[in-house]
Amino acid sequence: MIAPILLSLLLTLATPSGTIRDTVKTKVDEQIAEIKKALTKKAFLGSISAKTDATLTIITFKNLTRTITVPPETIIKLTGGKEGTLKDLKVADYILVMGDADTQNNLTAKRLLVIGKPPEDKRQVIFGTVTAFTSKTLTITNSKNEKWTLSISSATKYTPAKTTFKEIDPGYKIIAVGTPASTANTLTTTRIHVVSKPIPTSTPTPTPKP
Amino acid sequence: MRKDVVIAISIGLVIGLVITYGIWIANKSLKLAQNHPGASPTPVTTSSPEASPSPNPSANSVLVISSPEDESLSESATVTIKGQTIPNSDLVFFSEKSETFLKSDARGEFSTSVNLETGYNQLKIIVIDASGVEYSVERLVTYTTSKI
Repeated sequence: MIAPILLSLLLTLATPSGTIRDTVKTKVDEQIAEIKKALTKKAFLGSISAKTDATLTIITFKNLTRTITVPPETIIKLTGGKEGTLKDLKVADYILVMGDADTQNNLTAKRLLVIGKPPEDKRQVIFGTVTAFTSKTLTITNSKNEKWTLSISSATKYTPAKTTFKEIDPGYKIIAVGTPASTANTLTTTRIHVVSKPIPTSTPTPTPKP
Repeated sequence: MRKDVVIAISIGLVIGLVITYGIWIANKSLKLAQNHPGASPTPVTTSSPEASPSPNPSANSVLVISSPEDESLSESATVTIKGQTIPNSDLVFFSEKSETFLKSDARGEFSTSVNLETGYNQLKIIVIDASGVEYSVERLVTYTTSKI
């Protein structure tokens, strides 16, 4: 008499516990898949700030801290392309390290290159309206009402296509790209992009450039 | 004999009730976890502010770069820069060796392809708003032909 009751109880309980087991298994599988999916190929650039037997800490050029695990199989190339090991790396060395990163940006290195310190990008963008010109310069005024002198040379390129220095007149809105010269508010200009031209008046008075 | 049977059934029922209650609690917890995914650990994406800081604090709200991800690795010599910003605004893209100019569309969307140098590429995306204020965001993209 007890046996059928216990049996029916067990049968009743077997289904939900099986469901729970399945649900837990599915959850675990999903989490494993998520972890695998979360590993992405990344590359970090920065200088070594700390070193242990198997890890490196670097400070990136955006001032972020990254932890790198360096397994023995990591390919390490020293300056000049020579093969190296983790022992050859020193604090303050600049490195470019490639590998698999987790969601917390902890990277397992696969390839590590010791490089020189990346040069500073000195290019600058100036947006403004042309107010004056000479044969080798353009003067523009930006949104802060600052005057900038754009030094023009044969190396200066213009966009959109077919734009020339001669056609850029006062009133043109331009974006200039170049590097700051030694003189204040002067840009050695490599690129000029015309954004808009002034709306022509009913009686235009052309001013030919020298 | 009859007393034994009654005791056995009672014990069986108590055990059954305890197990059933346990199962009910477990099911309830699982359902709660499914309905509130935030309660379970979620991976931190690289689009978090920590992963892509900008020199200009407000740049990230004005200029959103959907691709490429910062510190990404490319096996292709070109990369498409996609994102969203102020509609019809002027954009300048700095790659390692060139500059590209573009205007965002009426919805503020933009997309352009830039060439990569072998090794690291520090890309800079600059948008200029109607009053001439610049906002910029940087992305580091490494191009390699080696298998990683």
